[in-house]
Amino acid sequence: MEFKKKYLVAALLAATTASIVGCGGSSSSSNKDTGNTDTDTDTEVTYDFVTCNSDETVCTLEGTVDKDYTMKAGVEYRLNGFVTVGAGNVELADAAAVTAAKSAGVTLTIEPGVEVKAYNTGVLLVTRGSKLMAEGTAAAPITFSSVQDDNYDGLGEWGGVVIQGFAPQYGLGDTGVCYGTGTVCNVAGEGGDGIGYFGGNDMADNSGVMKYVRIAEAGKVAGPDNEINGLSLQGVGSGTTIDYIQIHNSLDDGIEWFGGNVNVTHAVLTNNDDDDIDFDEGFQGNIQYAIVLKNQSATATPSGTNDPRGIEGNSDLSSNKQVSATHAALSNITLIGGAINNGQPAAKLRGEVNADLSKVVATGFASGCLEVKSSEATNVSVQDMVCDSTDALLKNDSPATGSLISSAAAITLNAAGAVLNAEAVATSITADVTAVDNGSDFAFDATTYAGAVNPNGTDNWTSGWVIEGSLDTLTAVNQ
Amino acid sequence: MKPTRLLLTAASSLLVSQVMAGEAVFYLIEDGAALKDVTVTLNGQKRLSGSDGFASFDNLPAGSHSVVVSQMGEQLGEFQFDTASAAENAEIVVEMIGGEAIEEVVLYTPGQADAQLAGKISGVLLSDETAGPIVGARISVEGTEVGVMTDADGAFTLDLPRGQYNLTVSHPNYGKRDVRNLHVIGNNTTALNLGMSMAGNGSIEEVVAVGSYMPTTGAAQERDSSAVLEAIGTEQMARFGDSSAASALKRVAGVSVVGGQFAVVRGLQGRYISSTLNGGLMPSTDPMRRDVPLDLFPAAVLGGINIQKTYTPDMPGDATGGIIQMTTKGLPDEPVNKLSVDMGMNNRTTFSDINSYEGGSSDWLGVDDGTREMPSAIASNFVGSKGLTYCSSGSGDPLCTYPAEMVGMATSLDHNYNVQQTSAKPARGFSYGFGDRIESSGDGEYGYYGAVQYKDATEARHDATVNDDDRSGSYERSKRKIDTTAYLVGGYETAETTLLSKTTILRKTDNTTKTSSVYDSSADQQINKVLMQWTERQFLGQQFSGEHLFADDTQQLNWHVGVAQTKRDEPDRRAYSYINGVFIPSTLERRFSELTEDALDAGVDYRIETMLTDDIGLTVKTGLMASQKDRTVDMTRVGVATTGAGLDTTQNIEAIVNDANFQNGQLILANRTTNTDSYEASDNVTAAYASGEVDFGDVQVLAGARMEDSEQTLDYPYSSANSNKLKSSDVLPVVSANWQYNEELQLRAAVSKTLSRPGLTELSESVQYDPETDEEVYGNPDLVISKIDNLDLRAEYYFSEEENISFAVFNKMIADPIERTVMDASGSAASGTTFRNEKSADLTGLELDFRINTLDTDTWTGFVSGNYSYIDAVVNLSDDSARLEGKDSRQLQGQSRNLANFQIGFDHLPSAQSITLLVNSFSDRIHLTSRADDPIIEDARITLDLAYEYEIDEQMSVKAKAGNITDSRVSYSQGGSTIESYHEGMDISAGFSYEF
Repeated sequence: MEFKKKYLVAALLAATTASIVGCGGSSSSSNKDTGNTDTDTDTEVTYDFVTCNSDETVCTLEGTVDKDYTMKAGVEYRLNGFVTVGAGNVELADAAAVTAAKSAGVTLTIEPGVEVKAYNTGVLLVTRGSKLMAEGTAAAPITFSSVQDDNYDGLGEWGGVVIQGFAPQYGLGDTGVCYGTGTVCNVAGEGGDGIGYFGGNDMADNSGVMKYVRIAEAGKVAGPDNEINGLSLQGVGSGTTIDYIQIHNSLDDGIEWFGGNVNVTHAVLTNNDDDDIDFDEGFQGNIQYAIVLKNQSATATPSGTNDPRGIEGNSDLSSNKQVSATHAALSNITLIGGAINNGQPAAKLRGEVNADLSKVVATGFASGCLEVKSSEATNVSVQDMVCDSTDALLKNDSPATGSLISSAAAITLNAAGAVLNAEAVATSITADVTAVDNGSDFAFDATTYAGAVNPNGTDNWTSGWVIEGSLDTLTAVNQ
Repeated sequence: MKPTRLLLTAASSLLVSQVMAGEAVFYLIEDGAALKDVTVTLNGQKRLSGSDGFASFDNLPAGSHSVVVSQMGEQLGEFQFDTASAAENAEIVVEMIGGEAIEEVVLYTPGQADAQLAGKISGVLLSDETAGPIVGARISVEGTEVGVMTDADGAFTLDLPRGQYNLTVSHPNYGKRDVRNLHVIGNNTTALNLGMSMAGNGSIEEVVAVGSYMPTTGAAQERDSSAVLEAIGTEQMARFGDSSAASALKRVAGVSVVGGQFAVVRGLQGRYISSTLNGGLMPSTDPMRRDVPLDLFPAAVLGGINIQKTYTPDMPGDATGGIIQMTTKGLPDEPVNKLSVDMGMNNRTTFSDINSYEGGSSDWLGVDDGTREMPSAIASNFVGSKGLTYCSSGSGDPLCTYPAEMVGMATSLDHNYNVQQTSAKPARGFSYGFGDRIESSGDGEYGYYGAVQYKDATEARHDATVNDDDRSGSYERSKRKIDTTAYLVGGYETAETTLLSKTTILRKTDNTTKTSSVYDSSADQQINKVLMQWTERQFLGQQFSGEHLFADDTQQLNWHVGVAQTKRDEPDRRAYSYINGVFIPSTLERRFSELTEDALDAGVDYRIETMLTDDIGLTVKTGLMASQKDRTVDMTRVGVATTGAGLDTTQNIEAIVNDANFQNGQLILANRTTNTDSYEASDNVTAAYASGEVDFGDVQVLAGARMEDSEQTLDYPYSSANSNKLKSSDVLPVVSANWQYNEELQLRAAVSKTLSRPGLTELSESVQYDPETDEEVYGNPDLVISKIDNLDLRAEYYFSEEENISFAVFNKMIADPIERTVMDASGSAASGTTFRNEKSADLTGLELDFRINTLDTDTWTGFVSGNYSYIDAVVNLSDDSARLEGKDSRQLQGQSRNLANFQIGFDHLPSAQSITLLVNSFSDRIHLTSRADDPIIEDARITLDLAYEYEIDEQMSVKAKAGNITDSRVSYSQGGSTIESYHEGMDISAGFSYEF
């Protein structure tokens, strides 16, 4: 069996070029993209990781993005297999190797409005030291989905987006930070055999910008008991910007933070099969404005090995595997559950985790709004957290600080996701919330309402850019 | 010598072996010993005298006969004698005195008075292994009541009337050997010096599992070896009912067997142990390991197993803990034609309902009939991890699979997933062996032996519970095990030369069905899992070997050339889960995997003995070895996914996953294969060694070295991970000394260097999934070869030939030991493990081994034997391991601090019955390490077996065994609480064999 990867790739490329014809007039099977130029030299630069059809309307990315590259508006891009930005996911032996990896980093830029469609094997992996600059606009968001069909309805049809950084990760069982007494980390990431290693000691590390980005149909099974999340943040530092992000129809979690320090604002998490906001492994950061809408079908059950909750802090592991360094502050969060959440609470904080929940509204979680166990030494505070009167408030014990508020009437929402109940705009709501100090100078916006969207209609931030129809069931909740 | 004499009075009872009429029998002797290879020419007809000194001629007519006696063309004498009638027989003793043949002719006629003239058979019985005497062997004359026991010097004498006889020699440990067509001539003593091997090459043992280790034979071999050696022969395996190499090995001091397959010698696991089959390195059938699963080798074809625990230069350099040398059966000493049948019951399993599923029509043979074969539509589309991108519309994209193709693939699979309950059948099996030894016209003998064996047994776990963290529940696992074996050895032997061809086919098929029901309290989920697994393992080997003695046996050349192929075929392993009563599509996996390892192996060893002075001898050994192993692993994982919410997933799985739901578009197939599931690896070793042993009489000193070049490679055909290569060249020196303080006490010391190489996949640059646990295993391309300094000291005290006590102390300092350990990992990868060179490991151990005869009469013998070892094996963890495991040092993985075996046996010699009670125990050992948590421990266990054997007569024998009598709970624990436990039940088996 001398059937090598190279030959396979060559065969696939040959097959592809046979039917689509290579672009740019390049005679070899490697391809240049005239839209991307290398400023350092006048010679024509080739991009081995891109193959385009003859009119350059469809380009397929595959392999390692080893130089700066821009994905242009008007071109449909496809991801085949692991598309790895940079090569920072190998084991780095020492500080010199870290420095070298940082300076060798490349930038993948995605222009507003670009549609990225992945084959089943497709994964976008941005390795440490490299950057993803995906800055869409409300009018022209960037979209990731699968080539399987033209809609965004599938589940787990491709991998997902994985960002890796040099920020710290903390091991299970309070075994400490990944760099131990040194400075170098090599933490094997979740997501299968192409993921490699991440982590470091740079809390302010910058992996780029994701703004107005929609990721749909992700969550492919990457190995036994192993699915890729819609957006995996592995040791991503606080220098990174993630704002206005939607994860839709992921077979696994919506966003999962594996350590790191990156703050996220304006998240729309719809119809995901597992948890929506999941943080662990020493994540230290802040999340403001997030709306979670689960499958509203009365017969929905998970398709993967999932136990879906709106928020999960610390992994689903025994208490002696806890990570006390984990500390997240969340404010202005709306969690809307359904039958798919059978047995699972809206928010579950497990083990010795620190979490501050404020201005959270939850409905549709029959088995409870919040689950903590005092025996697990969780350190959870709640403030202005409103739960639907038809749901149980607590599954197990009370949080360490604060108490939950039961709404007088069933929670209802408007089309933008604002909570219409009186408790959501009570004058008692504390405007200022203390952020987790992760070195980023993040400060929560002072808001006087609970839930993700201001009911007074002045900031309908979910409007216009989210996947069409993905929030349609909002107004039907409890109606 | 004090020969035991027994005068035969009942000569008339001799019914067989009467001397034929008209025969001339020549008996050639010199200094009272038989002379072989002397040419006797009678009336122009030539015969060579055999090793017993006899040459005989039939159909002697009346008249005058001329005789010429010559050797190597040189005439030694000539004479004549006359016979009066064709009925008259001649007995001619030719004695060589001063190079001249002096004849004495006695004529007699059978049936007349002088025909009753008596002679003797007299001689000494020696052990092939030790060259020492075998005491207490019974020598009986076929067809008579006559019998004697060998004395303390192994000597015996039988008084018999002239004639031709068959003798049977039997000993409880050495087994049985027949000597055919022995002549007794009047007033003469026939000298008969016999050798017997504890490997029992004279008789063919059936597969009845009652084998055990007999220290006496181990001691016998040990005494003669310059290394610390233990040995197990077929007779021992048969006596104690051990059905395979794995079960026999656990009887040896300092040896334990993990999972019924892999040996741990002196606290060291597979990576520190080497195994050979007939002198050649063996390929493995385990995708994740380099060492050989020893349950593959049934007792039916094994001739013996040696476990050498100290290193000598003629051994592979990775034999740190020990080398397990398995030898298949050699040529028989006599005609064999033997059939054995066996039946077995388990008190918990047999006739109770166990898990099963619908299989193929030839499952009973251990061969899948194609039911589980991967359909070609799947094979051609699932190449590596090339995703199965389902494109619901369009056409022409080579990376897409379109609806019609998808339906074609999906419907090419049989959608059979349900578990059934069936009644477990009793274990049953048979074996048949046949063989013979044929004298050729030259001075050699041809021989062959073939055996076939079949066994079908069912084992099940009972009251199996799991209780790990938040998860608690139970499971049921049944395994039908079908073994088939075919073996053929043929060869040619002379006193100086042995040429053998050995052909081996071993097959072992396991059909496992497991259902589990576990409640996860943390997620509030009821999880029900199903697993159906069919595994065929096969070993195919052909080997040619030769042994040549030169120069009065002072020089020996041995060589072997072999090709072998092992295969592990696991077609259509099916697994899926229901959570809270709902089928979870992403959990369904149908896996097709195949491992093939081809091995080519050749070696030559040369030994020369010389005397440096009158008192000091020198033995020089030198040799070359080359081994080449190439392994290919191909794996495909097929999954399913739903395309919408239209399916009711609370139904039975066969109502969900079926052709109709693929045809109507509700389900699609998914490729779950990972890039690193398939791989190609090679492992090549070439070596040369030389050693010299100087024998000062009471003291022997051995010094030598081995040079070993190795290269191992690993490639993933579907992954971009770099191919991986580890090359090394090492010199491994050894110095050892033996001191025979007196006849009873012997002291030994040895110092050596050995090494341990990483496993084939351990060096991977990528992550792989463990095929058994599905957990991630991260390779470590930075692994280096571990180097080991070994020190062994041993004292042996022999009360008698059979009784001894030995005491050994050893220390092994391992630099850069490789351990499977936890790693920096995130999310689901955190349950993965990796391999790391730790700082060092320090093993110190003592071993005590004894055998004492409790009873020794003409009719009864009894013994008590046992061994105990205490091994303290501490590994000093590397900085990373220490940080992650939360400790600086711990016990070495898989190592029990205390190991003990104990056997009590009795033999009733006249009725040829024996009974043995066997006890085996090990203390807690680390099964897996955990991150910042206590390791998972396999808890200490004691097993008790009772074995019985009865040789009813020459043809028939019966064996019985009660195994695992106490049925102790097998359990694993963590932090003192049991996380998994089960019972296996007590086995009762009986076998009957008949020799035609």
